[in-house]
Amino acid sequence: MVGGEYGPGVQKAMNFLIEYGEAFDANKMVNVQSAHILPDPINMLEEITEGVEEVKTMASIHSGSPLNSNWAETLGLETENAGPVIQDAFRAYDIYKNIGCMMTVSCAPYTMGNVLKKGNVFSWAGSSGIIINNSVFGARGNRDSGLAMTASAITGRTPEIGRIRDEERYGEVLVRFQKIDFETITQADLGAIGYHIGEVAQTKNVVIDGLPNTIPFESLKYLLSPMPVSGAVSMCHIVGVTPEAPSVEVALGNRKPELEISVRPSDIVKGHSLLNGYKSTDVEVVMMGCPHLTIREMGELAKRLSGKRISDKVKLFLATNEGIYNLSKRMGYLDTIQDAGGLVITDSCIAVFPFANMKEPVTNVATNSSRCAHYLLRGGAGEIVGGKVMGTFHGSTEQCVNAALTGKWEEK
Amino acid sequence: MILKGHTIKEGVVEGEALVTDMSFSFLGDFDITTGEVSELHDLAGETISGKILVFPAGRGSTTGALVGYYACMFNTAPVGMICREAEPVIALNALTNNIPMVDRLDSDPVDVIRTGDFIKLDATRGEVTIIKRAAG
Repeated sequence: MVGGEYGPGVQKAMNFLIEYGEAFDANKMVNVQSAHILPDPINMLEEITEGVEEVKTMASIHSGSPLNSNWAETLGLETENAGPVIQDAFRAYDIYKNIGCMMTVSCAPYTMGNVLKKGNVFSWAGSSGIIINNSVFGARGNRDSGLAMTASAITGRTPEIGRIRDEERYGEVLVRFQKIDFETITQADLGAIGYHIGEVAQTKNVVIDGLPNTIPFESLKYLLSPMPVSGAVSMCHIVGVTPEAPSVEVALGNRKPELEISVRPSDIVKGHSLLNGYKSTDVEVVMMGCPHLTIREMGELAKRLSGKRISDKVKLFLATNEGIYNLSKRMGYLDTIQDAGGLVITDSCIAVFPFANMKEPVTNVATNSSRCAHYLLRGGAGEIVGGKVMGTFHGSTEQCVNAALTGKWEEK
Repeated sequence: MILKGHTIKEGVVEGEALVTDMSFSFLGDFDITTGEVSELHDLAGETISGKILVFPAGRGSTTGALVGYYACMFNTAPVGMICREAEPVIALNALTNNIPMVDRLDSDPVDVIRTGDFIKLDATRGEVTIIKRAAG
C-alpha cells in the first residue's frame, strides 16, 4: 500500500498510519473490523480518498455541529456567518457516503448497527464510543483522532498499539465504593462519579469493583463517557460486566494496582460542583442526548412528558440518531415529546452546541450529561466555531424535565 | 541544557515555553478564536498561540485534532508540543496538523522547563534545548 499500487489516497493513509505506529512503538499493523469517522477537513479528505472506491471495513460517521445538520433553522441558529468550519461539511458527507460509509451521523453508532464484540479491533472517533467498546463490548481500540479513522477505514489497517495489545489493557487504577446506594443513584450521579474517576486516572486503565451487574447499558453510558473528558481513559473494566473482567485479579492482570481509590458520596457532590456553574436559576434551554439518546431513554422521556407542556420560556432539545428517531416515531414517543413542546434532533453533537449562533441569545442551559456540562462550561472550541461559555446546570433527568416544565432549576 | 526524548512528529521550532502540570484538551481548554486558555484550566489567563506547550498528556474529546486544524488556520495553535507521555488524541493532533512534538524525555519536562523559558524543540532529533531561562 505504501508503494502507491492502490492509488495515492491509500498510499497517503498508510504512510500516516505508519507514522502513528512509530509514535507509539508499534511492531506491526493489524486488520480493523470497524471504523467510526469524524469527517476530516475537506482538503485533507479529498487527498486521502483520491483513487479510493470503497472502504475496506464497516465504517460509520460521527455526529457534528448542529450547524451542519438539517435542524439548524428549527433550532433558531444563524448559519449565514457560521465561518469556515461548517461550510464544506455536507460535501464531506457526500464523499464518505460514496465510498460506503454508513451515514449514522451519531456518537452512538452502536445503536445503528456498528456493533462490536470481544476481540474485534476498531478505529473510532468519539471518546465515549471508544471507552464503551473497550469496556462493555470487549473490543480493542485507541482514542483515535485526526486522519487516523479515515486512514484505517480505507486501508482496513491500524497500528497494533495501546489498548489493542493484551498487556496495555490491564487495569492500573482500582476503584471501589463506600456507602453508595446503586438502587437510588441517578445517571447524573454516575456521571459525576465518572468525571471524578477520569480526573484521578487520567490516561491509565481503570477497574471498577462493586457495581451490580444488572446495571442497564444507559447507566454505564453516563458513568463511562465523562472519564475521557476530565481525563483520557479508554479502558474501564467493570468487574462482572466487562468480558475480560470476571474478577478484580484478572482485570488487573494479577498485578497490584498502581493506585486504589474509594468513591464516597462526597465525591459525587464534588463532581456535581465541578459540573455546575450558574448565576441565576432561570433555565432557558434543556438539552439531553450526550451521548445520543437510546430508545429506552426516548421511551422514558416520552413517559415523563406525556400530557404535559414545557414552559414557554424554555426550549427542550433532545439529541439522537436517525435510527432511534424513526423507532421513536413508530412508537409514538416523538408525537408525545413534540406535543409537550420538545424538539428531537438528529446528526448533532449537543456538547458543541453553537450558542454563539443563536438568533435569540441564551445564557443558561441544563443537562443530565456530565460530558455536555463540561464543554458548555468552557464554551467548546470558542466563538469562531459558535462556542459560548454557558451558565450550566447538571442534574438528573428528572431535574432536567422539571426545569423544562417550570423554567427554574431546583437543587436535589 | 539539553533533554533527550522520543519523536512524535518531526520538525524544528523555537519559542517561549508554556508549562502546566494539568492535562490539556484542544476542545474546551482554550478558545481557538483568541488562543486564550479557559478560566477553568490551571493555565487560565495565558495564551497558547505561538508557544511551545509543555504538559503531562492530552485529555478530552477526539475532536481535538480537528480543533487543532482550525487553530492552525486561525494562527492560535501552539507551534510545538512537549508531553511527559503522549496519548493518541494529542499525538494524532500533532501528526495531522504538522505540529512538532516529543514525549518521554530523560527528565520530566513539566518539572525542568519553566513558563517563559526560551527553548528549541528539535523533534526530528527528539531533543529539547533550554536556550534562555525566564527572568526570576
